[in-house]
Amino acid sequence: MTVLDTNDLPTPPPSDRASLLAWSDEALFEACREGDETPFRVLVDRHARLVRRLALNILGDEHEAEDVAQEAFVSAWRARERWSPEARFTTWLHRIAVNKAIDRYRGRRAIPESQETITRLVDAAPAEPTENQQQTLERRETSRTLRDHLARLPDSQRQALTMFYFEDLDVARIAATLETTEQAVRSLLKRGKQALRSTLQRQKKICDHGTFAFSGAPLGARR
Amino acid sequence: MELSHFQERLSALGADLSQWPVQEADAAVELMAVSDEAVALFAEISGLGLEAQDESALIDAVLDRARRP
Repeated sequence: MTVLDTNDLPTPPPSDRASLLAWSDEALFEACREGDETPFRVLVDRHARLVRRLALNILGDEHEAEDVAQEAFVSAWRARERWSPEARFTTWLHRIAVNKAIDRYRGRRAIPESQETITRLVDAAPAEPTENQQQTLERRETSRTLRDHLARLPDSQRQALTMFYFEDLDVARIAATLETTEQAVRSLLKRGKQALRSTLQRQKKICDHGTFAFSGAPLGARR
Repeated sequence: MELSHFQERLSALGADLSQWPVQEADAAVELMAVSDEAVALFAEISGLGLEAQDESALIDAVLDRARRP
């Protein structure tokens, strides 16, 4: 895409969308300063795909990525009067989007309240009578790994898996709690299990222990 | 994580951090939090193969939220 210098701008009225398509990002954003939404529409249309993808690549969840994209553009709009034309618009916009995605990413690593349930259940599970010390250590390591990876899943998947496997809720109850459909919950469970399994396999920490292999039955039902 | 290592891992693994080993993904995120160069590299790789789509719903949602006080 040819980037025009602000000084080279043609001079159509800013509301003339067709003409605006040729404008540089910086020129369009400058034109937003007076509150004209039309140049901003062109900017969002031009950059939404990459902004959304940046968030998706960090968060791994399409719904969260969509939220981040919205938030990033809203922040950009609200900051339009403070923006300096010396900075490249995309550098600034990508920074906003990445920061918002990083905030969510970091938030996932903090163990939320529902994770405490997992911690309590997993740690409280008695060792088998025949289990030796090494097996106990492996079991604890597997538990830690499981909790770490669960915490990194997208919110919706983590919540669904936690409720299904650790709180023994059925799909209907989970759907009601998450205010979604049963079909959506089944999809979340399926995708969550796949994500968890592939991550655990990649980490090569679960070996063939099998204690926390997600075979389909809630944890409570297996105990 | 150093920028050169980040670039190397981006080339090898792609920009989808869910496909990275967990510790490296965490390190990459922390690097991007402080490095505009890292974000630029990440954006460059993330932008590969993107296809156009209708963004009118997002545009309307953004402007609707932006108009709220």
